[in-house]
Amino acid sequence: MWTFKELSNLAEVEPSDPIFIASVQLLASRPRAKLLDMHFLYFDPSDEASIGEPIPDEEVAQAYLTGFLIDPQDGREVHHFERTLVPYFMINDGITAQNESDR
Amino acid sequence: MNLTVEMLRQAARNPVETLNLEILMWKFERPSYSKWVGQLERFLLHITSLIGTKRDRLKGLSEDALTSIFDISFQAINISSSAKAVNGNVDLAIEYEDYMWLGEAKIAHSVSVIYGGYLQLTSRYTTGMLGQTSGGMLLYCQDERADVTIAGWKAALSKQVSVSNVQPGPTDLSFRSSDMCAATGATLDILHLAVPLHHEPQEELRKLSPASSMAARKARDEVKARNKAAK
Repeated sequence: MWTFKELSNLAEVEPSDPIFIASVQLLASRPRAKLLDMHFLYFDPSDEASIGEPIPDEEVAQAYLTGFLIDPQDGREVHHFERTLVPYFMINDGITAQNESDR
Repeated sequence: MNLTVEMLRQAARNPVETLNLEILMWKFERPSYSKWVGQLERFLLHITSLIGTKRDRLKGLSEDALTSIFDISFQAINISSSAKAVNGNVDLAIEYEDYMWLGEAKIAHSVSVIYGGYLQLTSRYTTGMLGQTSGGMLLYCQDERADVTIAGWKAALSKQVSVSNVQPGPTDLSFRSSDMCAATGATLDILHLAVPLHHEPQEELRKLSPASSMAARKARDEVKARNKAAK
């Protein structure tokens, strides 16, 4: 799995480079040629040492419905949760499955 | 530095970058139909603005060719867009899951031509189903200034369609109206957007008048005289 930061290190560009961001978004959003799946890491805003933990897609989707995210550690409601979510990317499930069936 | 969703939103510099991020987030936050339409409209306005900067090269293109610019632009950001059969052959159909936005394009030669397109959009193509009640008129203004065309069409529509409820649009070269879908009775929301393509450069046609040349000479002489006196 790669965050924007990790991908930018591989590409040797700044993570905030707009062309780089657009390129990653393209790879993750093209319906018929989707290379990457996007998921999220949750960073506890009250814990500066937080290393981030993967949070299920369903919980992120639920947060957008309700307006708050449930902290996976202590269950409290986190409002303004977009500042706690760091996107990360994995090879698209369909591609991974295809590779495994080809072996 | 790890980029959060909030930081990505703040980093988006234009409607293209904003919409790129929105599309990625649709998996997690399915937009309401009105929000989705708003995102499409901002992108349409952006493309219209870009077309305006190239009107010297685009003037004279056919209606289909001009509409293809919008079509290709939407496809380039991974939004399903095409001319397709929806109760007939609609010029621009933009779709996301069960949402649909239909666009009717016309080269705005006259308000009669535009009205014909308007009737096609509102009475023939529009489904009037849930999540499919918004659309737009793309008016390619080649013959005259876009503000003149949009003002004329706005006045004609207000007079012709009593329920049009004409309202200001997101720019001076646009307006909004409503109508009723004949098939379902649903209220249709229509964005009317003038695309400025009128291009009539004046540099070969207009010369500086003798009076203007004389005024320039007089002003120059006065400054020279002041400079000389100051020495």
